[in-house]
Amino acid sequence: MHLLCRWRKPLFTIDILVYDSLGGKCIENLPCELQRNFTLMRDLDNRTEEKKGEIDKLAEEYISSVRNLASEQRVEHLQKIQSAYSKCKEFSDDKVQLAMQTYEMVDKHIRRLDADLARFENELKEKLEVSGYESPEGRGLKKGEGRGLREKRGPRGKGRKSSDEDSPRNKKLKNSPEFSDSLLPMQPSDVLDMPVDPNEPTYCLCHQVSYGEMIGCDNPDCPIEWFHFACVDLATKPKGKWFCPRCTQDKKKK
Amino acid sequence: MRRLRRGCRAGVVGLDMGRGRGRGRGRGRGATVSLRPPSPYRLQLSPSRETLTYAQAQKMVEVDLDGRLHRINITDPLPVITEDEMMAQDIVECNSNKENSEQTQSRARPGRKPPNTKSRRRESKNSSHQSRRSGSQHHAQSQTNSSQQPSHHSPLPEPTFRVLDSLCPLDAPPLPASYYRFIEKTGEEQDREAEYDMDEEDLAWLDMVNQKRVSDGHASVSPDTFELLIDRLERESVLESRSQALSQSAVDEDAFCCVCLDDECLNSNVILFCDICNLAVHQECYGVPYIPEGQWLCRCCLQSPSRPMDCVLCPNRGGAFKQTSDGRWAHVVCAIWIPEVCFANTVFLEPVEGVKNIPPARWKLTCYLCKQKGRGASIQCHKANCYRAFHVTCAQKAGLFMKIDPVRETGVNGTTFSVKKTAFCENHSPVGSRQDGSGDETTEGRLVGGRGNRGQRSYTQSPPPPPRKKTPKGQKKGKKSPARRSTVPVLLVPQIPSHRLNKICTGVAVQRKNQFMQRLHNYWLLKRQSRNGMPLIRRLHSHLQSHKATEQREPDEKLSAAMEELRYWQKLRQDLERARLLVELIRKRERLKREQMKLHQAALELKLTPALILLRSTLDQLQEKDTAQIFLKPVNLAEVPDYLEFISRPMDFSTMRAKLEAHAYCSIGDLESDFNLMVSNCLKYNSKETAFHQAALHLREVGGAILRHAHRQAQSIGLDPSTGMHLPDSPNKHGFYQCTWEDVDSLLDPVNRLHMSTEEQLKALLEKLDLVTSMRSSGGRTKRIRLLRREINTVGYKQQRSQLLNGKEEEEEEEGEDEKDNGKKDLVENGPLTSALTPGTDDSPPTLEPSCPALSPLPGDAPPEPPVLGPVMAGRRSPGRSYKRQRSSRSGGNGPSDDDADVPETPTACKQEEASPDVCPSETPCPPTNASPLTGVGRRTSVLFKKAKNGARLAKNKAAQLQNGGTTDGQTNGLDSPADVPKPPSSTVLPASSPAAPPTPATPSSPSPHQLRSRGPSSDSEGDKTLPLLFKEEGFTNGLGKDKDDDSDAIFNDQKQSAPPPPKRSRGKPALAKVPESQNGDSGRSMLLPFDSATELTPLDLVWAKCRGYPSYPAMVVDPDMPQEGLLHNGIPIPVPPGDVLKLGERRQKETGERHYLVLFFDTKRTWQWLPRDKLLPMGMDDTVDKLRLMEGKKPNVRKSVHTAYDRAMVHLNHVMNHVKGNLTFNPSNFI
Repeated sequence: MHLLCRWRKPLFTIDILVYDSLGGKCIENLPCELQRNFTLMRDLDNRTEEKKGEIDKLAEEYISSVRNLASEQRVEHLQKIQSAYSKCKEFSDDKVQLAMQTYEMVDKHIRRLDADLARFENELKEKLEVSGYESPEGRGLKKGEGRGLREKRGPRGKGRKSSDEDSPRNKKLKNSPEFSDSLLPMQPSDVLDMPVDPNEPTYCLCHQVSYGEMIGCDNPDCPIEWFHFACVDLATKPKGKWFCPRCTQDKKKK
Repeated sequence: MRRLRRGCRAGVVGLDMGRGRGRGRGRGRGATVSLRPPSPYRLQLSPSRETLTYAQAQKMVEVDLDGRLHRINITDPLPVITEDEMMAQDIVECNSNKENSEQTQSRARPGRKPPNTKSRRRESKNSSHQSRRSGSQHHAQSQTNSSQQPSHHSPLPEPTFRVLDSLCPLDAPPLPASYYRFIEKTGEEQDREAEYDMDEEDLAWLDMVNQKRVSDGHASVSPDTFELLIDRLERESVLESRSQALSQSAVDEDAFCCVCLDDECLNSNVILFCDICNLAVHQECYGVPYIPEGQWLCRCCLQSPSRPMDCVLCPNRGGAFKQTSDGRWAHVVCAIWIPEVCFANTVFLEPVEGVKNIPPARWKLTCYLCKQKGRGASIQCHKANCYRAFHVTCAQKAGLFMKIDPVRETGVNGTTFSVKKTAFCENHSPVGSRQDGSGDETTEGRLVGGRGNRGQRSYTQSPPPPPRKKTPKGQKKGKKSPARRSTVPVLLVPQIPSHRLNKICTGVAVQRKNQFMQRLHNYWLLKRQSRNGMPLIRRLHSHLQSHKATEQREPDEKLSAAMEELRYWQKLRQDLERARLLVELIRKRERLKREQMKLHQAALELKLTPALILLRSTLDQLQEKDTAQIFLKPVNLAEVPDYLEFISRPMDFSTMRAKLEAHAYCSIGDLESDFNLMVSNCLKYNSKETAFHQAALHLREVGGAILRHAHRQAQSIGLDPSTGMHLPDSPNKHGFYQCTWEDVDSLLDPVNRLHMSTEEQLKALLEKLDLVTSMRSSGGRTKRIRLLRREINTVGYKQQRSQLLNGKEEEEEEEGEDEKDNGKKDLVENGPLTSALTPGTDDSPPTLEPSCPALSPLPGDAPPEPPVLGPVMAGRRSPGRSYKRQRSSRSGGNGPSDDDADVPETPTACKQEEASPDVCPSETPCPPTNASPLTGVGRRTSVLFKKAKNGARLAKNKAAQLQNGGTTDGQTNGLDSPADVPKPPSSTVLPASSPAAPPTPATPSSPSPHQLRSRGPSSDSEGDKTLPLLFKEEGFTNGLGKDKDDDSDAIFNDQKQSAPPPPKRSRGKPALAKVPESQNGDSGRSMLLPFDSATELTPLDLVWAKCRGYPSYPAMVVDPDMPQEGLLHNGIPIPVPPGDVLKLGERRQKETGERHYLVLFFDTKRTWQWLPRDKLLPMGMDDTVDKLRLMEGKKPNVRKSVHTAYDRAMVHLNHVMNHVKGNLTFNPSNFI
């Protein structure tokens, strides 16, 4: 009995450009790590599927033979199924753990990269300043660059709670005017052309992509997890634990 | 080169563009409108602008047609009219040219949006009839239109087609704009290809060269090669000039406009620099309203970059020049200051006109500064009598006071600035201006002449005209001269050294390369020269400028490398971002999958073991109802070692759960039976007043409903009991829930139920009750619920009664079964029931079971089950009772009981006290119970003790099985010889119990507790209570006497004589009328009604009297017939009821036909009241009951008054008892 359709995991490849100029070394093994994690997950997936098949078989068996089974046997049988399920659950938990780990890893890299980028930018700026170049173009360039960076640095996926993030849309809005004129030809295409991913995960009660400050529900099983401050009527980060409206409701019910 | 000072260009440009765009839009709209054929349709007479609101105006488009202004609402659809239609229109107009004018008018109207109410109103007022007419005309007109148009041209175009012989695929349709992107080539890319495009001149030259070459037998040079080579040459020259320009400084921070000598720089009036000569001028001063894209060159660099200019009006060189109308040049400043000269165009400030108008006298003036005569025109000092003349530029150079007055005289004659200009010679300059320019500035405002040094460096004196040799423009002298000096790009078409030439042409295969290259080079030089040294490729030049700005090439390269790197990093960052998104998605998916797994499991479970799940949920619900968790765990046998003696099959929730999980239950029925077992165990073991007992009762009621619901659910789901799975076919779910009021009502009518047995009736009623309660609430619902409950109650009674009857028989047979107990009970109750029924209140459940009604919020529900419970309880009670008895003997009985015991029967008393264990042992392990209660207070077991008071009855029952026969005998025997039979003693122990003993067999617990309670009072007035139901009335009358007379004795007697016990009982527990009945039953007095037992309340009994609107209040029953002179009760005077009270009582009794008791409240005023029996509850029998009553009041002050009254009552009791027995001390406080 499959109530929910199952979907296969797409084996995706992420081609990450590896440049090792600044701190590139850390990035180098990221693809490997990613791949390892994903193969692990896939493995777990397969095992889960197997277990599921097993469960189905057990269920069939049970159904066909309940009539003749004594109560102890029934219990035993059901326990078998139960244990299979618990295995499945373990696998699922592992997978979630793995996914979270992977996320953390990528996130870490991103943060490091951002830091590097910032440093790099500063160096560049200093270099420019040292050379005493003062033309308006130069100034514009520097300015634009700094701005571009700043925006870029706002992690797009939700980073930490209340990290500053800019939605790609916002980013675009903010950037385009400046970039359209005067800046380096490459600049605009760089930051702005990061397309809005239609599959970008959505969050919050409003089912929008992440932007601005987000707050995470402290219920680990919260189906939504992240919320825009505005959507939950928050202006500042609340103290202590915070639960989303839905979780609060559920809690009350219980 | 155009440089912007203080970087305000962007803003200006932006503004500009904005303006341009705006204009464009406006034009666009105008265009579309004008495209519209000037048809009379829909053009409206425009309402005047003033009448429009702003919003309306925003929605209007104005069209000027034939000199009339039309406004069209932008929301109105514009019909597209083809030429044909136009023609048709015209024809129609021709046809009907009689009324032509009117028609057009009328035609115009329909489409028109009502202009505005005002105008329309005016119109209608003036010519309402006219408009009507015109309207009709229009109508006709439109008809004619419609009829004519089709004739003219068919409305539907006919399709035409032709067959193509060959199909040539069309170009793909243009993709949306988003697919195109402009990618700018990088510098390198551009460097790689030739940018230069040949023009006709080049072609001609190349042709010539090629002809020659061909004639010489050489291959001709292709145009491509030519272009490439020219391109390279250009590049070379750029490099060359760049190296030359290295020394040029970027921006001259303190540059000043060489026209006004001011360095002010506003956004709207920036200082521009010529890209070649580095001339600095204000936009306004040089007439450059818009800053051009790219290069900006001053006029002279643009026109003749190579030649230095000479001004017609002065001898000085350098500065900002403009051409005169006759092709010569003049300084802008000169043109400004010399009055006869003006600018033809005052915006662009060119050309300079009126040079010819300068009078010869002016030409002849001698400049006192440069001493030159005849060179240029001079102006004179504006001082009235001063005739000193000077050239404008010389004056600037010398820093003379020259002021342009901001007072603008708007005599715009197309001539010059309408400005007042004043210039003074050295001598007449206003004070201080000479020395200190800045001082001037502060006082005078804008002083041109104040900046001598500025002027000085702006101009150089041109050499005398004839010897015009030294071209080098040393004009700009200032400090920055080195920078300025290089502004001689003029003829500077850099000569490219030959080795470079060779290098350039290395990649090109041309025969006779050198020769060709030489020629080409020369040609190129000439070409550049002919273009005033302008580079042939603009981009390179501007590029050069920018690079010049970025100083060296190297840092630039470094920069670009860094940029490159940055770009990579950014790309990497993007990729990572994407990766993060993906991972996040994966994480979400995994979470979902986990959820799915859980759901899957639940679903499978539901599929495999639906019964189990139903059972589980039912059990959960049941357990939930057991809020005190009394039934959660098995009874701890260590605490209650005797438990098993009474309970053969202990049961509790945890056991049930275990069984459930082990698939031991196949159906709800199994679960239910266990549940019932559990409840009945509890009821059996615990005496009625204990919390456990009540909790059990409550649980039974609530649980019953849950179980019924579960049953129904199971039925509707269709479970296979053998497998615990769903039936293949779901049963028809017709309905339980489809029930109408009619059904309910019909069921409510007893006649309709005649065919059913009482049990069936009960069941049906219960179901209906469930059903109705599940319905939406409404008046009908609550009413029916009430009716149903009442009905259920009565049916329950009936059933019980019948059981009682049966029980009796059984009893008579002396069977020791539970049933017997029931039977006895029933017997006992029988009487009471009938009586109870007769007295009337259906609701008064007390008849059934005293506790039940009181406890159950749903009286209706409770009764239904009783049938089942009845027996159970009976059985259970018996043990409980025994306990109680012991307990009571011990704890409760302490004070009075002891006394009582002593008084009545020493042996029994002894037994109670010391040998209470012994007493009970026969029946139940009394001692342990005693012990246990202490330890396990609050547990199910602990409460047993209290119950023990009731025990008498219970004891019997307990004994029931074993001693059933015995008990009955025992009763009789016991009465005779309490010592012999344990029960009798126990019963005897408590005055009440003693009577109970005999009754016990007969009646269930109800009486017993009362008896216990009565014990206290009993001491006082046992005798009173002894009144059997039959004698109720008499009892009252007699009661007094009796009470006083025999307390203990009475008891004794009672006990000993089967007959007496009943009275006791009655007295002991009025509420538990059953007891007496039971006694009756035993003794064969079936006549006694338990209810009457209530009536048995004898005068001087203490009671809880419940008046409407008040909580129960301590009161004393008083015999209305007491002697008027008053009487003493054990020495305590009893107040005499006033006459009016007595009368009231009589009246009441008559009215209601019920017996009322006269009660005297223990309030401060000692008020009187007549109350029916069911409003009275004996006091002092049971602590818990008393406590409950004490807590009944909702308001604190009410409670307090009840408390005080209670204390008073207790004091009274004490006194009475003391009188009787002497030393008994009663401490009321311990009750509270």
